Order: sequence, then structure tokens, then C-alpha cells
Amino acid sequence: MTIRTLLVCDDPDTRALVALSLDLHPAFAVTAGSRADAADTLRRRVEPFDVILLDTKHVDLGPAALVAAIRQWPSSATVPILILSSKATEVRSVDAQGLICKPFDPVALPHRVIEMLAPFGGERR
Amino acid sequence: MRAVGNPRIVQLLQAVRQALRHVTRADLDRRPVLANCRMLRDYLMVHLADEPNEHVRILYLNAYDRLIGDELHASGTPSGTPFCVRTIAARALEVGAMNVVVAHNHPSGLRESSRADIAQTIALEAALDALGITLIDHLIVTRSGLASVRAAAQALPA
Repeated sequence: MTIRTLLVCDDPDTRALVALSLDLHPAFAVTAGSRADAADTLRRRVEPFDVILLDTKHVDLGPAALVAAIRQWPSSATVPILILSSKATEVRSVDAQGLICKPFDPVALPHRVIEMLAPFGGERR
Repeated sequence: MRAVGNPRIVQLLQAVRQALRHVTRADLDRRPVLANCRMLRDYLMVHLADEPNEHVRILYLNAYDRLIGDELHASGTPSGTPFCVRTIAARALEVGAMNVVVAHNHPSGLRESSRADIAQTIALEAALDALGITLIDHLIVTRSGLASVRAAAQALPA
């Protein structure tokens, strides 16, 4: 059972920490990259994803526009998006399937993502 | 190379968690707690948000909103933890607190206050008020942020 995860984060330190945290759990197969990397991956439909983790810090777009930018690609139009943010009030109205508030416990993060995906079918493969 | 099962990676992430707890506590110790909501939120998030069972923590503050102490008051099941108004009030007097912040986590992730949360908050606020101590708030900590029980209580129809 694998949760194919696309991690979109422009901050390399946060990206490394989140990727490492998820990679520690055998259920996750993580593809991590900046927003530009992710756009390229989704545009080329290289691989399907079960969840997109989207860090909304360090970007020039607001959270809503960022989600819309990801939703424009057929490969990610219906994939659950979980937002990583320290600004809970700013992202509650965004069309995403969940919010992971920063700061978060990196040890508990994989279990948290699995729990949040349960209503959407959980692990896909 | 995958990190799965790598004990050094586990240790590293545990160290990161511990560092977060130390740093957020140091921030609270350095400044008035209520001067920066983000500071208090971060502290409560890293200490409570991922606990599998409910825990009630009490932050006792002096007249200048500096932290006197943060104490684990009670631990319970994944779905509930009662707190003792009498014990909290007595402890607040003992440490010389002028302000109190109560926080407990909802492992379920629900941000809504239960009827028990609201009833206990009203009782605690009244008890502390009689002693000249202010209940600043009772906060519910979830993985997606904080919610105020006090605000929920005030929103109830009279």
C-alpha cells in the first residue's frame, strides 16, 4: 500500500524536513520539489498522486490562487490537497481537503497525513 | 535511499521535535505571554496538538503576563478530560497568578467546544473571578489550529 505524495514547498529546509519525515513511514512514496518543479511534474503527467502537500509559505501567490494553479492540471484536478501553513485563518476558506498547522511534530506527521486522507479513500495502492 | 526504519533519522526528527518544544518555551519565558498570540499558539501546538490522548495544561501568569509556570493538570482518554476548578484555583493562589490560560487538545481534530468544555470554562471563570484572577481563555488545540472555548461560551444565547 503506497501513498504517492507530491510535496510542493519552495523552502528547501522545510521541504527536506517534511520529505524526511514522510519517507520514514513505509506507506509514503514522496516526490518533493519547489512550485516550479511541481508545475513541471503535473504538466507532464509523469505520475499520478494520491495526495498533494502544499506549503503556502514563500510564494508570491495567496493560498487560494496557489490551489487554483495546482487544480488547473488534469493530473491534479481531483487529488486531495493538504495545506501546510502557519496562518490557519488565511487558509480555512481555501478549497483544500485539510490543513496541517505549523509548527508540526515531524515524528507524528506521517500518521497525521494518513488520518486526514482516510475520508478520501486513504492509501490508494 | 529511503529513510524507512532508519534509527538515526528517527533520532534526528525526535531532536527536531524536542528543539521546537524548547524554542517555543524559551520564547514564552522571554516575553509577556499575551503580547504575541502567535508565540502562545506555537507553544501549545508543539506541546499538545499531536498527543493521542487529551491533556489539560494550565499556564499561570503574573500581573505582567509573564509565565510563572505551565503545568500538566490532567490527562484523559482520546475523547475527554475533566478538569478540577477547585485545584486550578488553589494552585493559582499558591503560585501568585493573576491570569490563567487553560489549554487542552482534541485528538479527534474537532475544533468545536463540547458542552462539558463550555460548562467547565464558565465555572472556572466564575471561581477565578471571585479570587481576583482572570481566566484569559480556555483554548482547544487541534492539528489544524486553536479554538477558544470562552468565545464559544460567549456566543451562546443568553
